Amino acid sequence: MIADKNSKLKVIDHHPGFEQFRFLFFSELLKLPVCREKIKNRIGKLSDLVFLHKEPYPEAVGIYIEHGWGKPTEFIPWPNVIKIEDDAIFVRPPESGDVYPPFVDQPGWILMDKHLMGKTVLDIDGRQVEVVNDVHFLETRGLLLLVHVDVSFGGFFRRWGLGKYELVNSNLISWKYVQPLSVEDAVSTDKVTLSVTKKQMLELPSEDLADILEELPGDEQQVLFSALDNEKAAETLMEAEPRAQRQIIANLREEKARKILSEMSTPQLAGLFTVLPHDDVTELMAYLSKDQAERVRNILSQREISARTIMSSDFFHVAKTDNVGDVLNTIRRSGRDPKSISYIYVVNGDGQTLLGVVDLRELVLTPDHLTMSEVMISPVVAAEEDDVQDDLVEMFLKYHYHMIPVVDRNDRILGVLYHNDIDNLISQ
Amino acid sequence: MYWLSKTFHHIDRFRKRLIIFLSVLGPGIIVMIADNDAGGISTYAVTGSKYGFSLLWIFIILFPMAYYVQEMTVRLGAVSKRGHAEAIFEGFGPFWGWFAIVDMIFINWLTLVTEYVGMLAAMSLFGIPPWVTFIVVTAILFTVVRTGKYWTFEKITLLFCCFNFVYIPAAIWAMDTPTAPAWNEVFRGFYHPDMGGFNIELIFIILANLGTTITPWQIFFQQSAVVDKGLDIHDVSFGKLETLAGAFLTCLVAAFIIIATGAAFFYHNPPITIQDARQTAEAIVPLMPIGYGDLARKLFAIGLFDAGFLGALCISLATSWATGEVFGWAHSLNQKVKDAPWFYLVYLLMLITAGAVVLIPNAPLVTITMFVQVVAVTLLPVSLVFLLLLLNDRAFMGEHVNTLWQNVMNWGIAIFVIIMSSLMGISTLFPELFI
Repeated sequence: MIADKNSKLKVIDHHPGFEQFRFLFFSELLKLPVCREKIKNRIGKLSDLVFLHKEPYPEAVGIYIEHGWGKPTEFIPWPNVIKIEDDAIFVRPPESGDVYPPFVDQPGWILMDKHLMGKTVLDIDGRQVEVVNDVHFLETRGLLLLVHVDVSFGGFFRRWGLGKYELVNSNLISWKYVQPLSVEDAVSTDKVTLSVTKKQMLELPSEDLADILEELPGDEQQVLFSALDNEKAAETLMEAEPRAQRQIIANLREEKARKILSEMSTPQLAGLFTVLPHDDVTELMAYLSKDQAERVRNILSQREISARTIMSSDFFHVAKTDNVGDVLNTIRRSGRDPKSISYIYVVNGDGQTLLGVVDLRELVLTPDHLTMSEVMISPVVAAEEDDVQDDLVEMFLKYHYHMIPVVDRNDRILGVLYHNDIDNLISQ
Repeated sequence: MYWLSKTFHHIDRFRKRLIIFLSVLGPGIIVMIADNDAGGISTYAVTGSKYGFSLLWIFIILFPMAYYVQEMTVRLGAVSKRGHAEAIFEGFGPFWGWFAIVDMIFINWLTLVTEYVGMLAAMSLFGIPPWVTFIVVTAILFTVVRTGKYWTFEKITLLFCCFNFVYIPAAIWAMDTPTAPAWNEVFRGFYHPDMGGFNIELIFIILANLGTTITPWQIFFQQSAVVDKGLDIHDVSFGKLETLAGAFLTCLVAAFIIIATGAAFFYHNPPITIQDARQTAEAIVPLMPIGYGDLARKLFAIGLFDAGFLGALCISLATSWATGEVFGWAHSLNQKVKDAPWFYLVYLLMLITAGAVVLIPNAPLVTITMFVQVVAVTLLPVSLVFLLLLLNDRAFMGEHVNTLWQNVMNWGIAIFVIIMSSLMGISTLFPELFI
């Protein structure tokens, strides 16, 4: 690696034993002449740099040159690059023939100019949507690695040739935390999703994802949403604002829509459907089972929703004579949804009359030999089946429980209400 | 004891319903009150000064018309969750979509010019120079919407709506002048009017009143407001009730303006003919008893300014909502300027350009005012037909399609509007036919 002392592309090579390395900005390389060994043999200008997606940092695989005027493009594989100087990039001649073969896009390839510069990305660490104004590379051992993106205006100025004034500080985000949101296939006009979906992105809370989705324009919103798994997608959809919900639903494919809907409870579906246009609702209703569609329609048709219409039958109940150890074993083997076992309801043998309730945490701390009737709390805070939403909201606000049982006049347990179901119906 | 608990239950139920109604209240009242805009006030003032109380009966017709037309926008908005521009694109394709939106922007801009004319004139009665009014008013108009909350906008605007009622005391004072007839003359105007002959001028005046009561921008405004507010099918019944209340209020205020100007000018000896609202305020002074004259003048000026202000606010908003819907830009009052830049930019651009035109010396403002009313009335049939077709589309509306009765009423209105505007078109082209 040879570069003269006045070069703006700084070489750092102080400590013996350390590899030589230097940082480069993409804006400094774009449009740089590419020459075959000597400055006289100019091939063309660097139109784009091609990287192969790799963990943790993508590696440059070649230089892409457009000649314009309908001439074929050229693609110079990275091993052919000799050195990058201030005023030109020097490359070896092609192995065969006079010109390099034309560029053909391949899966996993990212083009800097086409796919990143000026595009929105998600900063997973900062949970924000940013625009890439420059890309920051690390050059070492003949490799060029994509290490950061610059989202500051500095990158913006550099793109317009004002870099030398250093008007603002760079704001670099490590590639590890960058989630690209839209990538156009370089050759075809179809938009495709980049196969890079970072694990960290899927672990973002759905509330944050919803906020991010609301900020994105249509295409990118779609790309990000389609990258989520069904459960996360359903949660995110419910957290989003009505306007974003409508947009997401409008762009959803049938198959994905079916899967997402199946992740949602009846009250949640009803909550979603009230904010959707009628024609979309008709379409989505067709994806539900007949029975569920009927229940959703029932909730939608009422102004005052009773506990009976929105209760869930997903609750765990035991007899008062059961002992704690057996109950814990049953729970472990039951394979239930964790949220449905936060409270265990104690009923008497015959008609399912609700006698008491035990918090799961309480149960875990109790010696195995005690019976449920000895640890249960009684009487139980319960909603009557005819209570309407206002009463229910009040009840949840007052007691701060995650779930409240619903009973009939004879104190028989009919179902349970989940706090987030109520939340979803009220927030509309 | 049973009846006691039953009564409590009913009261409680009523209280709950009242709270829901008050929370739904907004778009209908605002759109209806804003409907009495600067141009509207001028029209009513001219009507009163030319025909006295004899045209008051038209409000018996205009009240249900305003209600039935606007009520459809509530249902369309709440069920389809789309603004009017978006709904036309969805229902009739891009050609008619662009047709409707270009029309609407054009008329809205022209109407906005008339609002500024009204506001600047009103403030000049207080001795404030036009350019100061322009800058201050535009700044206030922008501040009202930029809070980033639909709720705040709505409540501030409802407050401004209250000022529209100043015409009621103004009318009562005007009826106190010596030459004014007794109140029973007013009621006669409703059930046994004496209009003189049927001629082109009468058609023109009736059409002008019709044109200020039902306008294309109102259809766009209320539907977008309903969507932005997030009303859903459960709120439709309250939305209709609110629209009914709004329609009643707008007709009430309009009737009182006619009573005021009729009492003050038509029954004056000799009658005074006026051309616009500003003249009204000026001419009213010498007619009033000492002390009242100046007060009435100020009330009229305040009312006129408020009318122009509300009109400007709603018309610019209707435009930014519609353009946002069509171009897919963020378009909600619930978004901050940073998040919906285009929405607020369109709003501001409409205001600034329209206001600037008024400031140009010797701009043909009278021609613009006339032109607005003519163009608006000729485009109204198109908007009405679109609205009616959408409201009868079952895929769009589901069970909320127009009922038979609603269709009878609304097609009746549409046909009436079409006949009246054709008459007007014909009369402008061939005036000799009607003399």
